[in-house]
Amino acid sequence: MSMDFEMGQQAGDLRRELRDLVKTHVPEHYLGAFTDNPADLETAQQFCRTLAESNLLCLAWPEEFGGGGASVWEQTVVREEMWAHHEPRGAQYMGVNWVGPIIMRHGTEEQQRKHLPPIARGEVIWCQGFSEPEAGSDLASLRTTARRDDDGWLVSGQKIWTSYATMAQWCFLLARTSKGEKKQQGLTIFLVPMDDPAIQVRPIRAMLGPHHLNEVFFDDLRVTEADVLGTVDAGWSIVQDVMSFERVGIARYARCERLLSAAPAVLGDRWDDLPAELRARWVRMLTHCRRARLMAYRVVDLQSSGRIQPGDAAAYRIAVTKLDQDSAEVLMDIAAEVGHDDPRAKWFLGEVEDHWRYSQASTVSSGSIEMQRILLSRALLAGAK
Amino acid sequence: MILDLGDDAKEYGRQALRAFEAAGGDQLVQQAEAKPDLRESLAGPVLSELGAWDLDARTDVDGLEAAAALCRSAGYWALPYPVAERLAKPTDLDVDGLIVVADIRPSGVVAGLESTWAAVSLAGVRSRVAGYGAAGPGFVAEVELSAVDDNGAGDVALGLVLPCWTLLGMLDRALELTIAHVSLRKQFGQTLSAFQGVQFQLTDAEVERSGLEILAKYALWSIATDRPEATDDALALRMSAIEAAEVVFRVCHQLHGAVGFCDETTLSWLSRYSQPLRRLPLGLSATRDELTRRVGGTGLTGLFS
Amino acid sequence: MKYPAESEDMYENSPESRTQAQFRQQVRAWCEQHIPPDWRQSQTGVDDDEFVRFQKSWFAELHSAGYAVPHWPREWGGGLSVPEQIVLYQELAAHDAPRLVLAFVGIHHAAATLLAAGTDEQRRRHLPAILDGEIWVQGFSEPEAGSDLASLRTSARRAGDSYVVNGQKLWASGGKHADWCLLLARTDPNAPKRKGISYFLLDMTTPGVEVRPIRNAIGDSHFCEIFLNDVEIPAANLVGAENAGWQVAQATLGAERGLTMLELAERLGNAGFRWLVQAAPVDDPVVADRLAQFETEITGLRGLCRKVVEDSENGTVGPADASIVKLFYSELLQRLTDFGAEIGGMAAHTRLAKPMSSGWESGSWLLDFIGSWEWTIPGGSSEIQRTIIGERGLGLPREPSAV
Repeated sequence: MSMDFEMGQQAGDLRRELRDLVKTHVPEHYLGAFTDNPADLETAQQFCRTLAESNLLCLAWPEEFGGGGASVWEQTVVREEMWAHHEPRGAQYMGVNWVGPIIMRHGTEEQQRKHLPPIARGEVIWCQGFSEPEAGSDLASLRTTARRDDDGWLVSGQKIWTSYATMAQWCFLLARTSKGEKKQQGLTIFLVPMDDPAIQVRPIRAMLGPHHLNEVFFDDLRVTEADVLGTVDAGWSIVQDVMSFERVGIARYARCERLLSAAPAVLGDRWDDLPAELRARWVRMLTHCRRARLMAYRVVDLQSSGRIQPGDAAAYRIAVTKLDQDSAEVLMDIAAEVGHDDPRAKWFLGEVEDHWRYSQASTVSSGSIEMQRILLSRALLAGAK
Repeated sequence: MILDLGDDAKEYGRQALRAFEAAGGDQLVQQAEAKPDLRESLAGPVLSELGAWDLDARTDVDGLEAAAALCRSAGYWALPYPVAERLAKPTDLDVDGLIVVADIRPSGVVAGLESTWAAVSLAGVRSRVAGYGAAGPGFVAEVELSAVDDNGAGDVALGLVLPCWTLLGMLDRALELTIAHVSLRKQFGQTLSAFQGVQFQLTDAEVERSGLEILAKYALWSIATDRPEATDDALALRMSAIEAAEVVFRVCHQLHGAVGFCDETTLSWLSRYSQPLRRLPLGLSATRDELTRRVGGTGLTGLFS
Repeated sequence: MKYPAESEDMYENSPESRTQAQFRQQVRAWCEQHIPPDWRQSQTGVDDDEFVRFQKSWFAELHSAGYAVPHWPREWGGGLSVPEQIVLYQELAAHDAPRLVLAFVGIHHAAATLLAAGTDEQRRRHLPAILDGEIWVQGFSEPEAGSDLASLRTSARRAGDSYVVNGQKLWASGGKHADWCLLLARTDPNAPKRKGISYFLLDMTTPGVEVRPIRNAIGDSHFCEIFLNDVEIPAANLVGAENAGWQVAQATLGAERGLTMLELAERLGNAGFRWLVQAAPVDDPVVADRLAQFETEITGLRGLCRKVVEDSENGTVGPADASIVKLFYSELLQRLTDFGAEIGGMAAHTRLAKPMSSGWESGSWLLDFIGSWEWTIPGGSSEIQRTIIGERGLGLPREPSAV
């Protein structure tokens, strides 16, 4: 048979290694770094350093930049295990997953020397300054402006939904430097330090919990040529590059599958007494987990072999987003059957509740689902011609 | 990780598509419906020429891939012949093909053919088909069974999976026809494809079709590598296939409008002839119940099983 | 098969007045005496002529009791209050009465149009005739004008005292048996499309009118194409002013005011759901659960339909209410009939033929499932066309023909 759905020995070993590390260094009922408990954040920071020491933090990076030169499948394993266990890398995954790689691709030597080692050592947090109140899906209509001043620019404007802005040291900022014929022209990426007094961060209280959503205000922030990533006015092409890194994105299916798989043990003897329809829905969700996971693998495969077309990732993104929300509903119904006195059950209830809240945001975070549907339908209709 | 059928299998599938088209394409099922006795003579020669009956889907993994590709191509043209069922024949019984049957009123798409058939229940009980009830729509007939043995557990997975590949081919075609239709049909001064409501329905269908495709490959691989959970994987595939078919046909009919119900429209034929595939041996609920019963608290294999 | 009449307790919405309760008893008694027993069986697989005969005879039966056109003004043969009409449809549904399929366009669309926009002459000519069995068909849709009806191309050129009409209509259901046709045609090709359309009453016996049934399975054909070749329509048959046809058509299209939906919902809840319960393996907990859910939804739908009718009567109905009900109905219908086909097993698939005078709840779940699609296709006529859909077959191929 030509087909082979095994990831291979190395990937399997890596998965085991990561699970061991999580078991050793992350508390058993960890619900991620972004809680009200500062110790959870500290756990994440520490875990990043631990991973870095084993050369596992930037596994996917080329060796010349301090990475392990891992295969796409090993990278996939990392995504899966990290998300399944509530992302114990905290906010650093952004730097690891795409900020670093983008700087590798577009940065000057100086920028690479300055930014890549701290990311690789697990010492820095980045935030993404893209979305604005008037510019969500229609990002190119953003209004944050960088006006020319002496030998640099003064940046003023406002970003919103900026995850982890309160704890980030650096910001990957998109602003308008000039007006082009099309709105995608005249945009520039600046790499700016968050400790500048011209930058003010205001947290947004949300049902997702603390740290995830913030507003960031720029009041005549001074930036120079050295802070520009790539070419002035040509920042949109870098934005598109960022999008391509995040095509597969968060391995949502892995957490769905982990929680679903945990349910029978939590119910114990009572599992077989659950209403048949609920157990049937549970099985259906497992099938959908498998489906989403395999669709993700197909995207990874196409991307790594250079065959990926616009729209290829979109079907997967739509499927996995739906899975996130559908599985949350089934898990909530299962959780309703759990006895409250069992301490093990309490953990499960917390996980399910957490998953449900986050799943509500899946359809709008990392790009709205409508954008994925637009991409997919364009690809389908283009094929008709 | 190799997520595609082998090149030989894919090429074979393409050849089959062309061969079926040359043999009559969409006319085949229409002619067969008008005269069901003809279906052997309509489909038999082209299948023989393709070497379909030389494929060994049971013991040769390349043959298995080729068989799947052939079923998909047969589905694309709604070929009025039980290709999947023929290819699923067991190695140790002297029959031409195998149908998976329900315990109550066992039936199969085997009306009016000269072939001999074995039947296997989901529990692995095998029989020979000894007699046929009256032929109904869709070339379906109830069958009379005479028991053979209880050794059919290993036959069930392939008997369930190959027809899912046929159904996948039907979904490929249904979506293709619909994309063409909405790109041509104009109302309110624009093609239907210009309306976002139409576009988004297409995406719903494509997500299902695309998801089914990768699951079908997985279930095939599960059989090829002799995984102990191959029958569970086959049932999971079937469950997903029926759900996918429901979404795809619903969307395709909706976007075709009234014309999608006419005989002049290929979609109408595809849709009708998808029904036996979607209902036999068990429909959606029963398939889901069977799968749930089997997997218990263990579930499906995956990252955390 | 006779079904026991439902008790008043079922209608939870509001307690009935005594007069209403008396009316209900009256209707019940009539139903028990007049509904042909075993009509479902005797009407299954009948030919066209028998279908027409049965429909006309049933219409006459209803009419003689004053139940055929309860929604018409009293002076034209109707005059039941809306609450009484609700009771009537509920009881007809509860007793599984045959549906008025053939007379549908006449008593609803044609009547509404004539009452809203017709001349006295036209009303006098046709309303009593409809009560006598005159059959109407709706000639609106065309091959290039489905959802975008206003882009229709059938033309009507003024010539002296008549109009000369050329064109083609599609999806005209009941075209084969129709005596008259509600026709939309373009009289001013230069005007903006909605402003150049006129509304005509077309005598189907006029030379140049050709009805071609759209090919289907069992031999009878409810969907038709109508070809119009230099058909002369007297100017007196114009409804409303020349070029004001689009506005008149709104009256046609808005004809039902929710009562049709109510009747359908009642039938769904009565015969439809009862059949489903009877056929279902209720000791299967999954099935029992699904049935309970459906029961809740059907009850909700029936209440909703009743509310829309009452709100329409009070003038408080919202602009989207009827659409919401249609949507709810169509989705519920699809799920219900799909479930029916699912649990019906292969038996559901082999029972292809259904009584021509039945509703969605034919007992042939697969045909109903097929037919349930009709409600979700935009531009579909509100007339029940499920037999056509069933025959053309979405879900199953038809019986082999003689070809």
